[in-house]
This record gives sequence, structure tokens and C-alpha cells, in this order.
Amino acid sequence: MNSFCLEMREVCKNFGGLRAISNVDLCLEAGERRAIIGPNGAGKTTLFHLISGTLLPCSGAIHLFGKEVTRLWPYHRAALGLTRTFQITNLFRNLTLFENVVLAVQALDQAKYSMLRPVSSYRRLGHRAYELLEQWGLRDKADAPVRILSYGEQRQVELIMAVAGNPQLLLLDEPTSGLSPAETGMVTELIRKLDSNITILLIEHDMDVAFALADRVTVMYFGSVLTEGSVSEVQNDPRVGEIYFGTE
Amino acid sequence: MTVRLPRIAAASGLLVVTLLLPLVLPGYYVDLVTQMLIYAIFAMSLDILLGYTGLPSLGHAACFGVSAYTVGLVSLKITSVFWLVAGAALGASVILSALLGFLALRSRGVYFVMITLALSQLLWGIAYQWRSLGGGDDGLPGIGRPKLEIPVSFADAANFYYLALVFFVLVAAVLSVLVRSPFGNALKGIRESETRMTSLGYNVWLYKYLAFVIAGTVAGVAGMLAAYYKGYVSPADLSILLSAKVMLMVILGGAGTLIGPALGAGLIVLLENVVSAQTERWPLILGVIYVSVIMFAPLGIVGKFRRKPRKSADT
Repeated sequence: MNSFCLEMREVCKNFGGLRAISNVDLCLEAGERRAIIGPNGAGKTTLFHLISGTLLPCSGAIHLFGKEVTRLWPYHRAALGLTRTFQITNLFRNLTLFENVVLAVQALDQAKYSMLRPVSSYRRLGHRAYELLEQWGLRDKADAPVRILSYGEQRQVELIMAVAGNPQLLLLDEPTSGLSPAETGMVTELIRKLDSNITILLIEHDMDVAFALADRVTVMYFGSVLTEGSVSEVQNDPRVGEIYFGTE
Repeated sequence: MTVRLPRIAAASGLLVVTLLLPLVLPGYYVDLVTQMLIYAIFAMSLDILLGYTGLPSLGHAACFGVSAYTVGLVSLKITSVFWLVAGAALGASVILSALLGFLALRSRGVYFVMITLALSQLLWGIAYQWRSLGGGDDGLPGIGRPKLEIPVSFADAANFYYLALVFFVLVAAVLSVLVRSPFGNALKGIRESETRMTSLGYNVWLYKYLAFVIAGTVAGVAGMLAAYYKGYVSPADLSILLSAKVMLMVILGGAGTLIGPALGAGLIVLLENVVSAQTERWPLILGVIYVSVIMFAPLGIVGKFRRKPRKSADT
């Protein structure tokens, strides 16, 4: 047993002849905030799919919270305390904001299969949902369908739904993609203020955001880990500049 | 989402009207309303799949028809005790939907439509070919109305109407709680985004499977009543025409609501009776209705009269 929150050993993933992830080792300590950066096609999102269980690795092992999860179903991993947000906003568009959050809250509640009692009769679910909305300043929009919220608000809802179940490990897939600079600043601040016990693994294209949020940075390039280190180490690594800014 | 007082008042007013109906209507119309109730049950069951979970089954008649055939076979060849017959019919639809769901839920989208259609056509083929068991094309005639140990004859139109009404109210009550329950909420979530539900920690497959079995069982209730109502079963009870008709009832009324499909069922049954008296081209009329609904009211009658028009298309 070890104290790693997430531990990946020699993980590979091929799509046909294409090696998307090759021999990746990645270890996160509890409470750590790690950013993964790398050019398009480096395998960042595939790595997320492997961690969350949407894709299964061809070889290698993945441990979450000291438990082997390499071939476990995604919902089992979620029950262990893993949640994620999506790069492309993925919400229940035709349901209200409140209903969205309730679905996130009840996901890990024992009442999730209950059929013969209205959800409104479970006070703890509604209470927790309103509490979250209050906390994130969206209480007055509770009854609006999520699709009419602004894009920035929808990105916030992504985060609310991810933290609703009190996860231990949170995967953020480009949380600020498509946001205006002002909104980016706001969302960055919201992530920074998340409970410091939550371990965060974040994919980010915006270097300012990545360096502002992360303690350590992993650089991926063509499916492999190029380097890993503290923010300043990575910033000063000439190879990083080369793969990233080489064409400029 | 909460049930408001005017709604309860409206529902109880409606219940009083339906209770008094047989006293004022001539027998023919009582039979017609009975038929509406039976198809309303059937349409509501499909809506659990189509409207709430986003699973467009084009083989829902399979559960309806197998239940109806079970009523025919058991009551003609084994026993006519109502509870046994009804129990066998519902048992058959539970088992069948558990089996069909297992096969059909491996696919999604248009493939799900095709596989449900194919599986139900398979059953239709068996019913059509297997003369010694189900009478083939002729079906099984001569099913008597149910006999219970009470001094009430269900051969009487009004009494059978009340029996159907009891089942209708029961089904409507159970389903309206179900769609508001945490389980029902999860179904709506699956309709909106499966990937999000999975990452939140829901076993999406299991939810879909349970929804499929529940919908199949409720369709079995409708099939059981239909067999008693008509007094015979035939391959038509398993046909694609019936599956398409019930899907149209749901879409016409408004998928994703329970009242909509019930309303749609009533309208289609009424139209079918009126039109069939004039012409044999009923399926053609059905097609015209379908096209018009998609063009002018894609969210159905209920969707059309909702306070705020919804931007997105139906699911």
C-alpha cells in the first residue's frame, strides 16, 4: 500500500496502429494539484479517459486511492471518489439547474435507485443542492433550464456537479476552454478556492491558468511523459519551450 | 415538480367524471372509452422508455402481445381464474422484457430502433406460423371476460370499464411517482447525457434495463386487459403496426409527460374508430397524422400548450 491518490504504471493505449499513450507513469499525492500540459494530440484527454474508465488501457496498471482499478467500470471509480468535468460542456440541457445539481448529489446517495418516493421528499438531496447553488452564487437561477444559462455559468455548473459528491480526486478537462479572459479569471479563482483536500488533475491549454493552479506540472508529448516537475522547473526546461513554442 | 393543489382538484374532478361516465353514455361509447384507457396504459408504458429515458423502442408491441397471448392460452387451455391468468400474463411480460432488454440495450440510437423492431417481428413471425399453439393468422378467439369471486359480471360493458379504470388509475399513480422519484430523475439524466451520468457514478446500463423491464411489464398490463376486452388475440397484437401506433400516441400527446401519451392514446383510438367506419385506409391517415405532428407540434399536444415554448427538439 502507498499514499498515492492516483498511481499509473507503464500504461499504454493503442487505437489500432496508433500508439496514443505509451508507457506513462503518473503518480499524484493526496491533496496535490497537478497540471498536464502538452500540444494537441499529446494524449492528455485519452489519459483522462483511462483514469475515469471510459477507455481501458492495453497494458499497465492504474490504482486509485491504493486500490487497483485498471479494468473497473467508470461508475465504480466514481463511487470511490473520482469525478471529472468535460472539455465540451456536458450538462442535462433540458433540465433545470436545480435538477442538474440534484442528479449530481443523488449519484452517490443510497436513494439513487428509489422508485416509489418523489425526489422532493428526500430533504437531504434538495437541501444539499440548494446549499451548493448558494455557495456558488447561482441560487436565483435554480429553476432555469441549464441551456439558457450563459456559457460561463455552464462551465461553473460543470464544476458544481463535479464537487457535489465530495470527490477525493477531481479531473478537470480544460475548465476554462472557450471562456472570455474575465470569465477565465473567475473560474481559475473558483478552482483555486476548492477544498484543499481535493486532489486535482487538470488539463489546460492556457499556460497562465495551468501555472496559477498547479503545484507540479507534467508535460506530455506524443503519448509519453516528456518531463515532470515544479512550475518553475518546467517553465525553465528548454525542451518544453521547444515542443510548445518551437514553431513560433 | 411538486404536485399543486389545482392539479389534485383537476385530477379528482376528472375521476368523478370518469366514474359517472357509464351512467350517461350508451354502451358503444363505454366500450370505446375502455379501449382508450387500455391504450393509454400502453402509451404511458412506452413513454417511460421513449420520453423519459430516450430509448425509442419500435417493438413495444412484443410485451403487449405476449401478455395478450398468455391470457388467451392460459384461459382457454389451463384455467380461467382471473388472478392466475393475470399473474401468468404479467409474469410472461416481465420475463420477456428482461430478455429483450438484455439483447436490445447492447445498441443505441437508430440501432436500438432496428433491434427492437427485429425482435418483435420475430415474435410476430412465431405467432403467425405456429398454428397449433396460437392459431396462426386466426389467433385465439373465444376468450371470456374475467371472472372474479364477486357478484359482478365483467361481460357487462360498464363493469369491465370500471375494471380497466382501476388498472389505469393504479398504473398512472405508480408511474407518476416513479417519474418524480430519484430513479425517474436518473432516467431523465440518461436521456440528456449518458456520458455525464456515467461519470457522476450512475450504472447507466442498469437504469436503462430496469426502465425497459418496468415499461414492458406495464405494457403487459395493457395487453392483458386488451385480450379480455376483445375476447381474442391475433398476430396483430404483436405487429409493427401496433408498435408504430403506440409510438405515435406518445409523440402526438407529448413525450416526456404522462398525461400526453394518455391523451394521444384517447385521440388515436377515437380517430381509428371514426375513420375505420368510413374507409379501410386507416394506416394512411395514421401516416398523415404522424407527418403533421412532426411538422407542426414536434413536442406533441401537451408540449404545444406548455407555458414556455421549448427551444430544442423532442427527444
